[in-house]
Amino acid sequence: MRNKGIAYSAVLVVLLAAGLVHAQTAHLSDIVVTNTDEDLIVYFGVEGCFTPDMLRAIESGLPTTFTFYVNLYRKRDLWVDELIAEKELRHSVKYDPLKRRFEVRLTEREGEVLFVEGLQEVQRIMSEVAALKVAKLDDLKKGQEYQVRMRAELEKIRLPLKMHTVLFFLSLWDFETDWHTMEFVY
Amino acid sequence: MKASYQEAEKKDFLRRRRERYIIAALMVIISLLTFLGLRMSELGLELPVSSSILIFALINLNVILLLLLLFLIFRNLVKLLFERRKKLMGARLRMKLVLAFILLSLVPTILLFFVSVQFISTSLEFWFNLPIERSLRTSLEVGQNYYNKKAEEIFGFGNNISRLITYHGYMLVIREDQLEKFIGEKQREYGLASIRVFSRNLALKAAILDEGIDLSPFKDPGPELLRKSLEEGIEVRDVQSSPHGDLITGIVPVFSRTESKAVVGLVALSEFIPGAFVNRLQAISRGLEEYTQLKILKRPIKVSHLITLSIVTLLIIFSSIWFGFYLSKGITVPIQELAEGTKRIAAGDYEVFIDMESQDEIGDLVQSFNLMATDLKAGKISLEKANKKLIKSNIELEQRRLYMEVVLANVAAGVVSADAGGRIQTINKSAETMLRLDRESIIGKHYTEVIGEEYSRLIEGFIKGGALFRKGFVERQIQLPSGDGTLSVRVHLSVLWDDRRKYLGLVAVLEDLTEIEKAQRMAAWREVARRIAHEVKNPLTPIQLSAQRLRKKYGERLSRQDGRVFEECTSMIITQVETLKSLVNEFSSFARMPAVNLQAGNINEIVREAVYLYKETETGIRIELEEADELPPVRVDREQLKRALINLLDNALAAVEGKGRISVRTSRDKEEESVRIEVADNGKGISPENRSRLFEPYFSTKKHGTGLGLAIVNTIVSDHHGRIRMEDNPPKGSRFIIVLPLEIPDVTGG
Repeated sequence: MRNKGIAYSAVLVVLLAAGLVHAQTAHLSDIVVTNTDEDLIVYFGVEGCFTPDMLRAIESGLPTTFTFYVNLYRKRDLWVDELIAEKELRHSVKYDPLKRRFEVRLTEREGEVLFVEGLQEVQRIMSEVAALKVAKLDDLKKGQEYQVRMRAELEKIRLPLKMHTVLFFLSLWDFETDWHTMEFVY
Repeated sequence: MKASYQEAEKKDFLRRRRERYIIAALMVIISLLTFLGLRMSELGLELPVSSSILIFALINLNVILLLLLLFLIFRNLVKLLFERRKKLMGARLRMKLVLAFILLSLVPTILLFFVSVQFISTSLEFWFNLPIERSLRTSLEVGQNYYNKKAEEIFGFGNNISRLITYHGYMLVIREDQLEKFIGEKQREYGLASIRVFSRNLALKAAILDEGIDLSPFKDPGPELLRKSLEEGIEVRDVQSSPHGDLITGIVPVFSRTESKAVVGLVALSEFIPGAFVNRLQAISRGLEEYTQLKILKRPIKVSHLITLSIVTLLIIFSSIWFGFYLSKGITVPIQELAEGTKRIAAGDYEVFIDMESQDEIGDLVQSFNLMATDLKAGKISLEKANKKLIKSNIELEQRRLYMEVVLANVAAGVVSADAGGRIQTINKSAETMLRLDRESIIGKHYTEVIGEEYSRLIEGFIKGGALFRKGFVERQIQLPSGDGTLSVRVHLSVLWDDRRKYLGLVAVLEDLTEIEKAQRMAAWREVARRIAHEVKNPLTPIQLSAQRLRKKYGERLSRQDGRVFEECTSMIITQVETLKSLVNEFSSFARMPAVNLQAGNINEIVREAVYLYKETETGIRIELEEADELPPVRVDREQLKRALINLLDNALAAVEGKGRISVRTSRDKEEESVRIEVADNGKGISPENRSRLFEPYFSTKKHGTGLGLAIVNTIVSDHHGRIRMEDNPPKGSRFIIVLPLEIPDVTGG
């Protein structure tokens, strides 16, 4: 019985591991936590998220969305950290082959559509988060230790002919970064 | 037996009912799920999460089932291999069936698999071929070119307008109203949706819009675009989309009259592309988009199809293997059980029942087997019963046979039997003694080899004569030689028949009449003695008296010579009459022997008394008395026994003839539970030919003797239930031994 259990666990581990392989290459970089007079703001970028396959897919007109999660916690010694604020951002891009331009939508620029013609420009815009207001400074307590946690992931792609329901296991364009943390004392 | 069969049936019925319920439930669930799935796709609900999860779940379920099946299959295969190695009953057949199933399913399935793979590959290649892509791209290029063309057109118009504005100086403030008029004319001339003129500081100087086109969804050119054109002095293009059409805007710089490179303003021209046209173009674009995306997915789709196909193929293979196992089980398990059951029955265990319900020949075979076991068991039980009865009757027969043998062995008469062929079958102890034969040496031999020629001829005579078989028996009295004389034997020869009058043989019963004859002779003699005594005794007394009277009367009167003669004669008469009288008395006493009156007595005392009578009288003879110590009392008639001893002593005295030795001895024989009295002399002894007649009346070796002495002794000893015998007393003489039992058998009877 024990041997069976070990065998099953090994199989599961192998299956899971396969899925996670690609996720390990994408990561957050250039993380900066700072503030203005009123707000706590963060800057960061994602590296290693654009694989050649993904770029090909984007150029083929496949809509692609990056989701960024930014959470602010107040650290507590003997208890679970207190969640002060959580933010979710979306950066979407879709190529219009007719007009030969990329349509980029950012949550930070609600209602605005950026038309970009260069792929490199697109990559830069998609993978950067600049001056994201995380929380009001008034919500923070002086002298307290805080932690900012950030993560980026690629949203599930909608394939044509609803293939995404069948080919969900495809991880060609899947990525997910680890939670990156930044601590500071206010 | 019946109860266990019924129980098994009931269990089986319950199991099948349970299975039916499960199958029904499964079918309902599957139908429900299928229905839900269909409904979902019909409604076109965009539930990516749930449908993904569903597909995920289904595929996972499939994988799990496959793994489970794989595990079970391999386990069964391994088990089968082990069974085959151990040469268990049914393993080879099962292996064959399973292999057959595997081959049957594997070959077509794999064939189909490869064909399908090839088919899918070919189809995919066919769908995603170059001509289709090219045509799609070409179509897209048409659309793209249209936009380009339009943009170029607009730039052309724009440059024209820009030049005219520069030439006429319409950018000057004083000429603003002319500017608006100018661009109005141009708008109508070029058929544009709108013309806007911006100053150096991006302020709108003039704008003309086509009233017939709804430009509300579209925004004015953005400041970045304007700034770009202004600062760089280049044409800038922008396309805005709305649900009912696209707006292509081209921004062209307006240069200074005096400085050719200085930009003094901007002209933004827009042309409207109607929605219908745009939609068609977008359709082309979408088509190519999808095609391109699908092309990227070509490999994953192929792989997923292959995976699905593989899963299905494996499912088919494993299902068929499983079915092979199941089917083979249906055959081999009953065979195994049958073999097992047969072994058990052969070993004697009839409590065998194979629980199997099947409508095919195997089921019939199993049923027949069960019936056979039941019958065998019943047969065994009845056989055991019959066997017990047989054993019991055998024991009874054996006991009876033994009893008969004991009876035959102990019966006084001799019994000899012979079969139909004349071979001796049985002979009892008495017959052995009578005929002086040994049982071991005569059993199985023909009677002619065993008995003498004379008797063989006699028997042959009986058989051939016919009287034997007519009457069934024949009786003869014969004389057989024995150790000390002859035996008078009455032979009763009978024929043995079975129930069907089949001749089985002869049986001869031999009765020793010797003693009977002796007793008869004794009785006859006694009768004679009585008569003689009676007849003779009567005249003796008158004769004696007459002689005495004569002597008395005439004895004195006769002369000396005559008187002497007279005296001699009369004395002779008187003496002889006395002798005759004593003889007659002896006869009389022999004839009228009084009955014994047995009382407990001391043998030693009686012997002593008898011996004492002779001690003083005889001088030349030594009489020795040896008494045993502590003789138990014996039931005797004192006087009779003393008389017998006196007779023996008389004989002994006669035998030693005045000089010799006579010893009298008493002893106890513990083994025989008897007392012995021995009277031995060292006289002349008795010759062998006389020995057999020793105890007969009127047999005497003495010159003067009645011959009744030993007969009387014999009678007295017999009356005491004892025995007397005579032996030699070496070196010479005779010994008479009287044996008296301590326990006298109580013979009562009427």
